[in-house]
Amino acid sequence: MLAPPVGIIGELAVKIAGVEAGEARAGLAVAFAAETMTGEASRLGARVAAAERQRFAGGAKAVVMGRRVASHQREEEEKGSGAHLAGTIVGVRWFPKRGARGCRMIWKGGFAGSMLLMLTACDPAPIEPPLADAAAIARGKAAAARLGCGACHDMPGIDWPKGQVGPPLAAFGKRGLIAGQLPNDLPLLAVFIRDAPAVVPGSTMPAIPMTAREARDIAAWLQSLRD
Amino acid sequence: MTSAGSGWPPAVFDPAGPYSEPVTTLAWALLLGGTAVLLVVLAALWAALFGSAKLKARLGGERAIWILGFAFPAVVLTGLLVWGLMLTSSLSATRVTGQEMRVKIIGEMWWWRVHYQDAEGRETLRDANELHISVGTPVLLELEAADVIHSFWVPRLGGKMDMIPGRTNRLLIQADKPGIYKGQCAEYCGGPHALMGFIVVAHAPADFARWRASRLPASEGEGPGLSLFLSSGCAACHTIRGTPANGLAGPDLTHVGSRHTLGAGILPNNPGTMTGWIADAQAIKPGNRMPAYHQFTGEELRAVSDYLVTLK
Repeated sequence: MLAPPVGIIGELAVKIAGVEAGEARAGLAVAFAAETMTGEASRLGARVAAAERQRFAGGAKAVVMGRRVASHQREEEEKGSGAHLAGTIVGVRWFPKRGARGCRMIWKGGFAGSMLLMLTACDPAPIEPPLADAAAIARGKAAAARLGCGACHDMPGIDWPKGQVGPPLAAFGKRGLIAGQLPNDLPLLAVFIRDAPAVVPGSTMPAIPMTAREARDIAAWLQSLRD
Repeated sequence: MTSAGSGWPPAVFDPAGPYSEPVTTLAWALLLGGTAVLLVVLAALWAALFGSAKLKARLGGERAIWILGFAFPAVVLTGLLVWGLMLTSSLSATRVTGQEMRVKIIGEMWWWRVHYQDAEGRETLRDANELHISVGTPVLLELEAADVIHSFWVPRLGGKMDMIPGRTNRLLIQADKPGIYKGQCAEYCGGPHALMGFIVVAHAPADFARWRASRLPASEGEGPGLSLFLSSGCAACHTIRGTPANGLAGPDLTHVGSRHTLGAGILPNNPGTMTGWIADAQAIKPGNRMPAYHQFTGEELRAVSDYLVTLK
């Protein structure tokens, strides 16, 4: 299971950590940490998410799902809106589980590994992804109001309507799964918001006309809802 | 409350046609004139409380009462009456030339029937909750009500006119620029009165002709959504021309997919809001006459919604 390159930053971090190319999870974890430190996290963007997803868990469904998301994102890029893709993504929840093989690899990772330790040691609570920038969150809330998401969802800060067809979205940033099926990460959430049936076949939530940027902004807003 | 695409509440001091401009002028004059009179009264009050004995004596004198208490109001109010009547005389629907576009609008709890008419007043087309007009053409509205008193008000295009059961009131409106103009029921009519919105879409004349032509053919949509629509009771209240659905209790849905709003001017119209409205309109507009459709499965719901949004 050889990892495809995930961009210059990702490769660099893999090298820093001294992990083999095959140890994708550890490499990516370090990559995210390294990029967060260098303030370049946004450059990783959704492509990493897609690539990571294909390796994640290894189950057939996950692979299919990853491909769906990846192909979606390729379409976006082909349409020329790719430049926005990474705009609001600051971090993703892909730190390896305790005891996972990847974790041991990080310990071998020397400097970068110890930086990661410092990062995580600050807060023993579960690591939450950092918030997207405030402007994106504000735009996302405005877009959700404008598009009438409240017709089905009760959403904090949107007084009317408060639909009861779909799940209420309070504290969505703490929700583990999207629609009970997909990991709640930002690029995937953005795809789901714009075209739910494409990633959750059988979903009642229809594809809704909006720009990729609006979808990402709404995802950023939803993930910012933590209480 | 969120805007349904065009701004809510409607702008009231931003006239966009000859039938709303005099109203706005009058409103500003009343506001500024009223403020000036208030300042005079406050000055007199100040003088009465804190002024010198001489000033107090003058203020209470017979002359002041004749001037401030009688002559001043008589002159101001008479002048205002004459000026106001002259200013707004052009709004009167008695000055109909026969060149106007004619539309009958019937207020219902809590939405609007829109019946387009030809020059002789014969009905040509039915729609709901949305009025399309041509820029620069006066529109003569015949306003009626089916149940209780409503009031038709699109502030940027004209005055406000009550819709009274058993009567036909007439109102002229006109838009000078293409655009979407928001309206609102302005007479409390029960439950979701505040959610009884309306929009006017003004087109350039050529666009209006195109829009009109696109309205005349009946719907050609089909598929599982239509079967569900017919078998689940929707057709008992809603008409879709070209299908067996011919209910009259609710809005005509022949072109619902092309409407700018859902739920009478309150929600943007997209597949998401359409789905939410069908599934549970009561959560969105409590008390309205459309029941929540909880019996649909998710896929059925989407099929009906997918079908309706294709009705352009």
